[in-house]
Amino acid sequence: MDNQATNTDKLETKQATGKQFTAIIFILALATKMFLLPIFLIQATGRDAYIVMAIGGAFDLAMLGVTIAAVCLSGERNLFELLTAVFGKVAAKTITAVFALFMFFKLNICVAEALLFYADNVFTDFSVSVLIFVLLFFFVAVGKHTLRALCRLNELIIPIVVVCLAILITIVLMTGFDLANIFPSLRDPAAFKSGLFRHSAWSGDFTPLILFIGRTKTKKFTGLFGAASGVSGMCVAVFFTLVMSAAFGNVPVLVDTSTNLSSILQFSIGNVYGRIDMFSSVLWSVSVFIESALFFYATCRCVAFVIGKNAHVAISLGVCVLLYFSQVFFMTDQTIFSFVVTSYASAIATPTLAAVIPLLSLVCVLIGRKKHDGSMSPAQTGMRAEESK
Amino acid sequence: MENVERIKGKFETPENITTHEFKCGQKDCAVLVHPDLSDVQTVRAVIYAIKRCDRKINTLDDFSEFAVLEYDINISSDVDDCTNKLLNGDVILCIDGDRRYAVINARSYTTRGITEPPTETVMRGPREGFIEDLKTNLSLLERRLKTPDFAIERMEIGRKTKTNVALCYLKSVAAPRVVKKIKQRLKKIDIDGIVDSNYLLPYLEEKPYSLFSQAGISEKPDVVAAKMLEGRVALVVDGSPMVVTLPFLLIEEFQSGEDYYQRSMYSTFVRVLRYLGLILATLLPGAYVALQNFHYTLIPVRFMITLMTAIKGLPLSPMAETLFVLVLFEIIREASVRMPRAVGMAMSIVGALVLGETAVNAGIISSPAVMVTALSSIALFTVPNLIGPMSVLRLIYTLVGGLCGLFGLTIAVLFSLHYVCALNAYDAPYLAPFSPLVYSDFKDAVDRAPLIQMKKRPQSIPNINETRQG
Repeated sequence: MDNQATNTDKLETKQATGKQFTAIIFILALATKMFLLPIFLIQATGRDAYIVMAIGGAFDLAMLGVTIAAVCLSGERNLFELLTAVFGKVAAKTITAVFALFMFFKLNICVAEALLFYADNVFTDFSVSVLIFVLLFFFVAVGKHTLRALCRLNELIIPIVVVCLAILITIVLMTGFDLANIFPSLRDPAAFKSGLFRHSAWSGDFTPLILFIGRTKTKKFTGLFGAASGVSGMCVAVFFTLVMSAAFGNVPVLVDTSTNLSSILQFSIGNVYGRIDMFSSVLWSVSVFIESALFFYATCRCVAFVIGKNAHVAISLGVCVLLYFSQVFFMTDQTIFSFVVTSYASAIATPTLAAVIPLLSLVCVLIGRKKHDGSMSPAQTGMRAEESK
Repeated sequence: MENVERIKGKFETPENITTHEFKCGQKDCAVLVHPDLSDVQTVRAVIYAIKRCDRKINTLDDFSEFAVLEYDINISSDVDDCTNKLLNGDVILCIDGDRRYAVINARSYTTRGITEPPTETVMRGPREGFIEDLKTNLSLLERRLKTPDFAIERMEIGRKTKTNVALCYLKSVAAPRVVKKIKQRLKKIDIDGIVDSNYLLPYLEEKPYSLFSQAGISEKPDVVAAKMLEGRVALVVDGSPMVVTLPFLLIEEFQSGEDYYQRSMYSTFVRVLRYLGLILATLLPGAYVALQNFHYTLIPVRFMITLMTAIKGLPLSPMAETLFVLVLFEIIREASVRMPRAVGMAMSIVGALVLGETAVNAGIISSPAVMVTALSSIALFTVPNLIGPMSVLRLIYTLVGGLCGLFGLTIAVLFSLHYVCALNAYDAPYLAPFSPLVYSDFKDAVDRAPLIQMKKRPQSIPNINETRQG
């Protein structure tokens, strides 16, 4: 009797279900890309901001495709096991350490953005050094628990995010915007180049998905749904930037770091919907917190592998201390933040790692599969071929 | 008699055990009885039957053969077992020359009658409730589940209390690994006493320190039977009218037995109200304080003017005043629950009318704060089983909202949700069917679909038989 499959087996054998994986992709495609990035892009590029967003998005989507392939082909072994099997223990730890640094950098960008939003728009006097503690408490809880808990939280939050999105889009369409404002395109190549440069720090939003390798219950269409989710999320982000570009493209001086939609509304029809917009923006920030939490979780798990200990609470606390110092002393200063995200080092390293991480993961998965197939007897291989049919 | 001494020697105060010694033919016989727990009539009848017996009774086997139709008899040579049975109200018969004991069922306790449980009153549906007697409680369940599948596994827990616990489940429905895990946990319990089913919960829950209960508790046999039909396991404890059910999902707190006896549309409406009520109850004070402290531009202007007039000249900050009213409410609630009913009513009047009204008039607290707390508290009562955890969360949210505004409140809610998402007891995700998403179980989550649509058992609860109806 014990061998009988129960219903929960179908749901809970792995850390994440296919649905949860798809939901996470949707959040990662949208969260920071619809937060303050369009404003930064307009400030740098003007009316061509949406093209920069589209190019950056296309790059991220390509890497998403690679990551999804790695997740779908991974089987039972997770990323760390695969890295160890392919490169050996020392090399695997070195590579993971680089991954951890990248995740920590992305975590800083996300958190800085969220704090900047609250400091500029929601609070008259926002003390980052004190209020960040609330966020750090949440991060420690995330680091302590499993990926499953985070996936479930995201699954629970998705309806709220979708509702906020619907409200934002409705208001945008109601206000009416003149699409002609985005033409002619690419009139200022230098500004366009500057925008691309500025966007590069935001690339690699899908990199924490490597944690789903070997830990996701994939089905036949999981990859397809994941890709569709990423593409639709990215389309919404580009559409939103397009609207912003049409509204502000010719007068980028009017854009500040206030909520995107409030700015549009103030510019076009006054502050009629400001309150609704503010509420939905606050709710929207939840998605940014989720994305930050995922980067935090990825950082912690990479560190745990590098040091070879599963002391999750201690590692989470350590990462939180580092995050606290980097945020309070560096990232919340707008000059330093701007310098970090627009520096040459960041512009080169971020997209490079954003590409290398998924590609390396896919290579590991493929080599791991090949080794596994090679170690199986011909009869087992035959059975596996039958199963895949 | 040696046999008698062996049992009486186990007792610190052997005089509490009554021994009736008599002769049956040439044989010396003795009956040991616990006068507080046994039926005296049965004892008398046993002695009378043996003395008047035409047949020659030399051994306990002779007695067993003779009285098999009259009494429930077991022959045992285990002194500890017999001592235990004696303490449960059974009568022990010894015959000289036979080292064994005959255990005769003569248990008789005074129990209260079956009444409607005060914690789960209904307008429609059965009004029977469990009582403190295990046998009666099991019969209430067995009467509803007339199937040979109904498995009852009995065990004793507690070194001193030796409380009888019955593990009940439907063998063709409940997942064997869940039953096995529960049994393992129960067997591991090494405590001196279990005086109520709630004593078992910390041993059965995955996270005993959690704010949220991870086991269902019900006083109604119809509710427990329905849960067993969905694949859950019930634990009936002697001496307790509360039956524990496992695994447990959070949505069970929003379901009431009555939901299934009313029109499905109305039940759905009531459930939506419960969910809204809980959200309102937990978040309203925190949001009120956060908006007043930090985000007053988000409050509509006319409402803002009214609010400003009400809070003008108050000595306390919005957060302090709301926390004060909330704590005051909790004190009044606790006092009215503990006090005798008549005094409790007076206490409520004093607390709600006199104290509240006077405090507002004296300018210590504002009427909007009282209104927000009252609204939040009334809303909280829509889900009675969550009053405890949500009262605590409400205070925390108010504190965080007052100190960190919407930023803190948003993260505090995320923190709580994440914690609840991490709970996973007996392979049943605590927040199912919302997270992980199980579409088929939505029929009995927020919605209460008509029973004809519930053809499958809930997937969120592990079971081995999906089909409920053809």
